[in-house]
Amino acid sequence: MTERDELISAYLDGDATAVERARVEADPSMLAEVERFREVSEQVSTGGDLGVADPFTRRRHLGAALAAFDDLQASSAGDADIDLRAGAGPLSGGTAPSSTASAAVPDVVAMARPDRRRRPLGALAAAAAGVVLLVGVAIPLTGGDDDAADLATASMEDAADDAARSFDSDSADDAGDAASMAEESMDVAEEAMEEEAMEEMAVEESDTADEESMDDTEGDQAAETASDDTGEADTGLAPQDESDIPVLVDVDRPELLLEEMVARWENGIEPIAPVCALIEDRVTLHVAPGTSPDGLIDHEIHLLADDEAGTGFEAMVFTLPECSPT
Amino acid sequence: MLERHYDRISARCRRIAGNVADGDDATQEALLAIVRGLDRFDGRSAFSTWAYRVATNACLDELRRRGRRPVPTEDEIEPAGPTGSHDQLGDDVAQRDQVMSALATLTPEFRAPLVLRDLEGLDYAEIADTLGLAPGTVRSRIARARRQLAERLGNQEPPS
Repeated sequence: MTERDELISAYLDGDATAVERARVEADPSMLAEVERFREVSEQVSTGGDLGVADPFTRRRHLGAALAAFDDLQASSAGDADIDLRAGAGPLSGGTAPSSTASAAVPDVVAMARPDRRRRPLGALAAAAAGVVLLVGVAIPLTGGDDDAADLATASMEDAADDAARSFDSDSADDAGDAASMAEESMDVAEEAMEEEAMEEMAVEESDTADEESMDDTEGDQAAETASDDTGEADTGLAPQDESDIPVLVDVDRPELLLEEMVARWENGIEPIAPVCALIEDRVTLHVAPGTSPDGLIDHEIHLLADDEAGTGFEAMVFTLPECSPT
Repeated sequence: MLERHYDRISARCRRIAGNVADGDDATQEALLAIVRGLDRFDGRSAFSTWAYRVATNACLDELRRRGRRPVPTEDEIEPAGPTGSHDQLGDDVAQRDQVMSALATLTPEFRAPLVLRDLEGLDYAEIADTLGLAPGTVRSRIARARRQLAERLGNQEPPS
């Protein structure tokens, strides 16, 4: 192994400096070796792939990983309700939400959106139709104005109910049953989201739900009232246009905030800025003004575009200790 | 989430391991490492970047732990040459076997950066980040790996 090989290899990979390139190109023997290395590289790229594990092995691996995850979860008493399974939300663990008990809010909430074309809030609003105890939090969270929060919650529930009613009859029936069984409702909604036949309808209904939600002046007034009344986390920015419409968050489902954020970004609307949401004193979401999904790397909401897989966004929420409730 | 990234992790572990059996075992260890390391994910990089980094290093750790890698003797690796008696499919299979055998002679420390470069198309900086190495080390290891492969695949170093 010589420095010469490093030079040749780096030249082949486009990692050589201008001086190094000139040196290689001035030496015919080095150029000949570049071609040899290129052959090796091509042989590796065409003959070095071993494929991926078969479906059985895949299931076994994933099952073991999730079992390990469950073990970890069980061993940390009172810890977050984290679910790695795609599309699964905190409700999937079988625990009914409670508006009064301290929510099992995860430090990390991970989820995958199966298709970025969807307007997720609407679809999730439909799924949330069966959630009886829904607590709304107006974002930007500017304080604890209960009346305002109640108004906002009511508007969210209305939007969710409307969306659920406009699903097809089977799904609507299931969603109705889910009024007393929130988990079932989530399952039905997830199944519906996976069915291609339902996809377009979900998009349409999502649009409707979003529009209804955004058009809900009651909710707007609630948020503005909350902001005006308390002045906490004052952004110093006057509410303006659609971006100032509050996001309503079920304290048991903080990922809804992310769904709404994604929907807004997809529609070219910047998130409320700055946003600081405190959910049950545990989860804080923070988005800087004008932040784009790609610029969120250093923030507490991470949106990971996965264009290659075509599966939309992953979103993760992280606790932000310095933004604890006051 | 794990399911979404599974195929890439599986493919990478197999490539790094150099064989299916070790690669699949390493994949399992990689997934477990991701699960167990979730609380250490600080969000400074994209989750996928972090997960692949953890997976890659878990694969390497598993291979080191096993301490068994196929090391064919020189006699077992025939230099690539004309195979006029074979049809194209036979040629492809034979070439693939030769490449895999030659790759298997590399230690994981040399094989990993090479497959990340030539099979996954990562640049030196990305490889360095993934493996926790200095870029210069990546450059050196890839060059050494290619030299060894060139010799084992019959691409002899020309007289200088």
